Amino acid sequence: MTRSAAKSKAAKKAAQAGFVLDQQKNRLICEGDWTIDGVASLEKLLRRVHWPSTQRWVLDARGISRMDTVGAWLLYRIVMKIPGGESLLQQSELPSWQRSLLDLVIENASQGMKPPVEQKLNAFGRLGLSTVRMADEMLDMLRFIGETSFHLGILMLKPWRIRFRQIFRTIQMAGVNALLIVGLISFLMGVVIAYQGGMTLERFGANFLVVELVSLTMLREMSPLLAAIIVAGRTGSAYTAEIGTMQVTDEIDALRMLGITPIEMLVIPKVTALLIALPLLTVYADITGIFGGMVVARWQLDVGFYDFISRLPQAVSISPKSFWVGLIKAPVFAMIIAIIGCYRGFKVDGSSESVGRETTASVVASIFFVILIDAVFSILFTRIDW
Amino acid sequence: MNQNREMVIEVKDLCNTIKKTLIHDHISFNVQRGEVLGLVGGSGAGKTVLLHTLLMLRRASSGRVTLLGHDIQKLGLDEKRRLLVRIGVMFQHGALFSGMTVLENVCFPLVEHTDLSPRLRRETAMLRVSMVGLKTADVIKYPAELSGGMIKRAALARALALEPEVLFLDEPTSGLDPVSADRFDHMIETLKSQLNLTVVMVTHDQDSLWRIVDRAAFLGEGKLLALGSPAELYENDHPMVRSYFQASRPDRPKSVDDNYRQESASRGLGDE
Repeated sequence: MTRSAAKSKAAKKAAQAGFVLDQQKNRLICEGDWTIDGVASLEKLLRRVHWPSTQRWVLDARGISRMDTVGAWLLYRIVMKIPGGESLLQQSELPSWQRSLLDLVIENASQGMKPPVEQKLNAFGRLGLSTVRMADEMLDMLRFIGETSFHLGILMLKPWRIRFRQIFRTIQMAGVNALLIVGLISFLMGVVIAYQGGMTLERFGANFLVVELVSLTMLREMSPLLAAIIVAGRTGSAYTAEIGTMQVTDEIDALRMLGITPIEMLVIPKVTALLIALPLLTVYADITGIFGGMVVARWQLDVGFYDFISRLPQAVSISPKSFWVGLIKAPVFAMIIAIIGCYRGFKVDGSSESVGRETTASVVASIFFVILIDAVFSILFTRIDW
Repeated sequence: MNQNREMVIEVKDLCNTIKKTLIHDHISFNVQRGEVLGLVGGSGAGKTVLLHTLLMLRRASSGRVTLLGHDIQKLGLDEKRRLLVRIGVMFQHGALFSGMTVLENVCFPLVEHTDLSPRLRRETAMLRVSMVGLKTADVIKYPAELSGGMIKRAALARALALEPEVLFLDEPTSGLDPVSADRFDHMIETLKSQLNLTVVMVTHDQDSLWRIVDRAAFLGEGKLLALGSPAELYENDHPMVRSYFQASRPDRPKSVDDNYRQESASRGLGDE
């Protein structure tokens, strides 16, 4: 039977491959389909066999109806387990198609069938490596910030090279398109704060203090944080994915070759756009958040809209700069998000997996740093009594 | 040609329209077991669309395609899976999974479609890798660390992983230098005879056309303009086929080459 004819039947269910070691007659009898879908049974058989230690075996492969390279490799492996396997294989009578397959396999197996194992480090090695990597990353990041500032400086001197169109488009995407979600979340946050705090205040009969509660929390902390976290998730990740994909498809190199610095074209418009969009979003979140508090106050705590609003200036005057405390943080957060987002995008190394990895890293890092810096701001503002 | 040989692919009256543009206009041809069929034609002649139709990546607008005895338009999900295991595809840019090493890429089809043990899977993959001429040290590299030629080889190893009967190659030698391309062609030819493969390849490389293709199908103007051995195509007097074959000057069999040289000299083309 020719191999091609045998192969054409491959569509039909493969007969299981098998072999028997006939200890009396010193014969190795093979039969069945020695093909990729038939050899699974062989492997089970292999585990149970007691390999002979005597010489002078005969290979009987007439029962093999079909064979492919996987089968040929297994046949080779099996025969090699028998003492004197090399010569046994040489002397056996095999159909020419089986012989040529075996030759092909043996030739290729001589290169070695074991993939090289990568040197694994011990715990100290790994610790050291990740420390060095972290330090490298820090330096890299600093370099990136420096480069961005440098180009920002150049653009200040040559303002006609600022890409306004890009900036406006990015503001549209990062700011305007985020209005709904930012508004909704900060409204709900206002509702939650008013509701949770209001219940306690009500017990003391201090319902009207809900105005202070909601307005101060929203203005000072909640709005800038919420806006920044949503923007980090929406826009920071998009920055990383966009630049990362451009990296994979060589678009970044193409830009460089056209004499355009990627930082000027991609990073600066994004940073600028966020510097404008995030403070605006923060103010917007202030408004919707306080409105959320107002709604709860009106229906749960008997503080009407009019009373609420007329009490607002007085409430905020406890610490008069609350509004600015919130607003000053926004551009700092914007810088963090935009810089990390872009930086991570440039770290993509050419595999599609790394796009995903860097995007995750970008969001996690920006949210982490936003909250960290927020904590630093809190201490700072307390010290200067704002 | 021997009429008794089994047909691996039969294409009958295939038509494809994309956005109201007719790409294929009643194309019919057959591929026999064990032959190497080249799909040639200028850019935009619909070679890739035809390949994608054969591979079931897109549905034909009308017509019939039979692959290994199955009408590919009438396959159930299970049948399709079983049929796909019997064909191997090497994409133009390799399409290696960039998050996996070469070894993992080659092992992947084995993990998905066979019940081999991890050890045998690894050995099978190593065998494939060796067959396509990659070094053992290369198998733990990621696609991003490989050269163009190595990517092509690794992609071929993955295409061969499941012992396919039919191998589809999309421009296997594009982007390779002439020496590597030559070696790659040689390798495909060797593997083809050793593993008894049927090969369908899209190619722009006239060298490979002359070297390994048994028959070539020339696509142009939405039709199958010519079908025959490269030498027959070279003699074809359809203006598109003619201009295609005279557009470049690869080295080719002596007799044809001389013929070509005289012709181009008389047409005033000369050497470049």
